[in-house]
Amino acid sequence: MLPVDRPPLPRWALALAIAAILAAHSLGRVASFCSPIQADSYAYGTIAYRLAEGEVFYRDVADVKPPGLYMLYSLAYRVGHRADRWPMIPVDMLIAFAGYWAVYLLGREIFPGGIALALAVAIAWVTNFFSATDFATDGFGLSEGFMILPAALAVRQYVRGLSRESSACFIWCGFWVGVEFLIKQTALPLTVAIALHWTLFSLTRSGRRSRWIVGTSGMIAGGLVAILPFVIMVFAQGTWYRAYELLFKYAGGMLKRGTGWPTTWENILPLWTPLVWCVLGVVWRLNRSNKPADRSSRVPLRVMSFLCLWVAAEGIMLVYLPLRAYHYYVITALPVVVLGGLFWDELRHVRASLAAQTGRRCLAVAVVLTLVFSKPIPETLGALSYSRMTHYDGDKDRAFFAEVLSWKRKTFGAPEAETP
Amino acid sequence: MSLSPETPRRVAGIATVLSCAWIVAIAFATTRAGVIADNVVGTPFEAGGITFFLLATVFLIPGDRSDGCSGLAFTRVALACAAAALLEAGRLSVRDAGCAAMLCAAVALHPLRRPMMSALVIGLATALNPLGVLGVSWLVFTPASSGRRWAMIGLSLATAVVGAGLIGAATGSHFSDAIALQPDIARIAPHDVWRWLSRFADAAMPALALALVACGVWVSAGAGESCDETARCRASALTAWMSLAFIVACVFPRLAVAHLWPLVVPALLAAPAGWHMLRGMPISRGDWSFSTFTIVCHVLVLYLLWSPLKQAGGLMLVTVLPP
Repeated sequence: MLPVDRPPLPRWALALAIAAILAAHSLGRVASFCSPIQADSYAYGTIAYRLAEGEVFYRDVADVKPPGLYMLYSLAYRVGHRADRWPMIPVDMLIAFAGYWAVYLLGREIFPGGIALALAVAIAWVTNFFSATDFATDGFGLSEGFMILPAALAVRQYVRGLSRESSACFIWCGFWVGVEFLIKQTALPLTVAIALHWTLFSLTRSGRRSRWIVGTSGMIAGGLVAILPFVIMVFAQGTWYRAYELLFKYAGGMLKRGTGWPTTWENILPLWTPLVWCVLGVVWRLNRSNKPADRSSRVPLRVMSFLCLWVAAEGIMLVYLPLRAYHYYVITALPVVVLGGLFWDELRHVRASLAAQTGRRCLAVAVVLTLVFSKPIPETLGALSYSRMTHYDGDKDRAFFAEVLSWKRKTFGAPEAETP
Repeated sequence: MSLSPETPRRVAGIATVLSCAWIVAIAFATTRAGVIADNVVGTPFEAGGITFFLLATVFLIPGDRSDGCSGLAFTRVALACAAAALLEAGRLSVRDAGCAAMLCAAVALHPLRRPMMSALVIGLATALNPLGVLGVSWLVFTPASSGRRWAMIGLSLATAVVGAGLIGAATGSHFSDAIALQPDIARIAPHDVWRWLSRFADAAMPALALALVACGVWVSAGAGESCDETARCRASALTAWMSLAFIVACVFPRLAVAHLWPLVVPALLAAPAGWHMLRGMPISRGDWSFSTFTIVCHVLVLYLLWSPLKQAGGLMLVTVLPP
């Protein structure tokens, strides 16, 4: 555990944060569920429904994604038995709230509680904004939303592992990365960031090579534990080759189609302030003295460097994604927002060295500017959710779900398998 | 290199002249364009009235001399931008502009230590637009005995009633016209009201942001910190006034869209103090990383001026340039 101050959070702050998260989630999910674009969530829902009806994944029905998301949804359809998207709601909600909680835990691992809470609130608003305003899909129940939970928990364990001698952290880190891979292949940037950082961190310090071997083995073991059931499943079903084709050949081919890199700042509007704060936070942290007394209460450089590497890896991934769809930015937002917390932590330290009045001024200016530049997020989400909710037609929704089911299509996102 | 002590004053003067010129030009352009004739400015007489009241507001905003007038200069520019943007959108009536000017006058009278005069002027503001009644929060926090305070509030309300009657008789317009909703606003879909409000609030955002900074510092500092009684009362009054304006805007968003200008007054009054606080953030060569933060904050606040400038500037170009 990092040596950070942990004063108890005031109840009003907790209540305010929970209310803000609930508001963000409700507005975002209503806007995406009632979206006029009928796309991905219907594919997910119908695949999960068919799996619940006994069809076999990668044989009777398939997608270019790993089975994690579909397995979770199919559990809901087994209980719900409804041929529409409603059974997806509790699963999506549960995983999303667990994701916000995981971001809070990750923040708590690195920063004081107040900043961690702010990060959880920020991630709720930012991710829901990107999901709801997406123009390529309806944005409901997407895999990116499910990836927040394992990604945040994996990083939390990795950060713990950096400052502890325990190997359990690395096993858990590997496990959560494996879980993220079961949701979508875009867990790759986090994996690369962890692998690269762990290697550089360990091998540039003397006497850490054995630790590198232990940590790496732990992560691989954890990852295998998470992925093994899936591997066994495809081999047992005899669908391993089709799974390989879809997950690597076709999904890999999508990387050459275009780019997800934003062309205008408007594309990543909710990330403006976090990005500015990221830069300032890193500059401050690098510029501060590294005396042991001072170092004890600050975010360690090893953690900061990892967060920077993670942001870079997610940024590079965006370049290779097939189109400029906003839902891709959901997972990119996670490291940006977390790294932005560094600014608030540094501001806390800077304020301690300033006169009380000047410190209050700096905090007030930073908070007001953050709120002012984040204003379009609630404003857009509010208008979108109200307008889409009032125009939502439940019968049309169910009819389209039934239509997608009736297609009896075998593969989504890739050509059908060649029949011998 | 050191600046002459007169430099900030000169900068403030130039900013004032520019903001006044901007207001006059935009009023001329909007009247000439005739694009908003259906909404608010129907005649050149009305346009002249609005221009007069806006110019009065520019000069009545009280500044903070300790800040070398730069806060005042920024607020005047922000005011001109917001007014121009609202004028361009057809959301500024003579009554709104008059009400705001009166409210500023009431606060400007404060150093003269004539609270009854302030009460009278707030009454006149309320007679022009019922939203002026929020200015009573200024009287509530005026240092005076409880009885005297009630007397001021009573005087204010009595002036409002008499003034409304006189204005109605003179102009033929009913008191309720002051807060009437224009037909296009009444037609806005419920989910779009907040968007509209937000769009117009963007016009006043530079002043609003600085006022929020000031209020944030005042609230976090607590009442006990400042030993200056006058400054403390001013801070409490403006914070209460802004909070009331915010609540009114939240409860009656359509009303706020139609008559935003009187609601913006407390922000305009608190903005110089907010600028003073922004200026209080240290810049030094010894701590360049923190200085970067201060500069970034200044740039972001200045960036907020861009949106209303663009909004009103577009119309200016369309109107002034030949087709």
